[in-house]
Amino acid sequence: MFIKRNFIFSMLITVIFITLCAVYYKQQNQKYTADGFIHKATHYFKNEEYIKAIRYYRKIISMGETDEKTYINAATALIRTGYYEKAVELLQQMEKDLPPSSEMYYLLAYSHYLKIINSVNKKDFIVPIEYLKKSIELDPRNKLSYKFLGSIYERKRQFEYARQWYKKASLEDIDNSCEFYGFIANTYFKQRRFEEAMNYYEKALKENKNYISAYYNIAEIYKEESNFEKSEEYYKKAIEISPDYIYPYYQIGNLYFENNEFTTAIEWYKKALNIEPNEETVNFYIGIAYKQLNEKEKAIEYLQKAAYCGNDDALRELKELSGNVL
Amino acid sequence: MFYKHKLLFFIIHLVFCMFLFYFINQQFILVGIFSNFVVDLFILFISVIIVSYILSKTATLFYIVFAKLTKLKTYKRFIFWLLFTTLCYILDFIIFAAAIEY
Repeated sequence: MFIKRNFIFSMLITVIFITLCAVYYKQQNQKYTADGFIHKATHYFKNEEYIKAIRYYRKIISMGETDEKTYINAATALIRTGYYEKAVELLQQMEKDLPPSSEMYYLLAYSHYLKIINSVNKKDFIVPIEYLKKSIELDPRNKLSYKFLGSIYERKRQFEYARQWYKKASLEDIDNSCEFYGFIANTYFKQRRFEEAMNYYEKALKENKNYISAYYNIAEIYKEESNFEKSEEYYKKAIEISPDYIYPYYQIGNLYFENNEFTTAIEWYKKALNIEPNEETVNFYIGIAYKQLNEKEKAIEYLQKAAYCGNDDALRELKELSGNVL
Repeated sequence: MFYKHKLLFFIIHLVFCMFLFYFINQQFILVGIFSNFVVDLFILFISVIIVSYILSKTATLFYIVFAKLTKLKTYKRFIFWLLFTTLCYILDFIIFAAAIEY
């Protein structure tokens, strides 16, 4: 009798408990609205609090509020927090729930790509390539997809394929498509086909005179060909467009350094330091230039600065020069 | 509860843990601590049992002392089991309430 009564009573308590949980769940859900979650998710996403944003995006998706932006933002947040596998799962779910879009395929390609390069067993990039091709098929003006596809082919050292896609992009009505001439030129540059590279850099500059990378790379080509005057000319053109970037000053300094014109090299290196005073490599080369000019004290001064900024070569030089390193 | 059907109680508790796991998964999956269903379900199941066991054992000790002082008949096994099962349900509810909170 006791056993039967106990069992009935226990079952009753269990049923009451389950009912209580269901009522509580319904009550809690009633106070939540999709708009409220979207607002919170967007707020966290904009503030780069991606983990919190993902919680709310998942809840929004589970409530059936499946629009493209929610999926895209959730996938982007997952990618930025390093959860590439989960980003792939989410985007594959999006593929089932919504009509396909160029951006979706781009993100799928990106997630797969990141998964591959972060994995121990490096696989081929066939999957991201296929997704990028689908992305371009849906939107032939998707600049990012062309760029990414080209960069994957470049990484595989299949420069001809990369060029094919960059050329296709340059023919589409895309903003600032002259950039693609620059990418084509870069592929030739990597293959040390300087004449073809030069042609495309000059094409890029005809369309956009402020395309600064083209000036740098043309200067690099002239430097490779030991035409230092021309190289300096193009670095100076780059400085005219963007005077607050350290790179061209440093490179001009290197040109004079390689020509053993150490005084002029130091002048240009110091111009670079005006922009970034703690640049370790520039400080190091100033130190070496002063060493070549037999100005030991100044050499030590700059080498010490380079060493403090983390330059290991500077430590070796200081040991040679003075014995007492720091 | 389920004094003569202890196995049934553990089965019911395991089923509750599966539902809890689903809701916790929604919230905390990215932290990485809830990524393996079997292992994490087992951890959840055992955690609730251990905490309830400790608390109910402690409470039972107090009951035994009280019963001896007042010279009442002790039903220590029944009282322990009753406390244990009740605490399991209470803990399940607390975890559930936290897991559905946004």
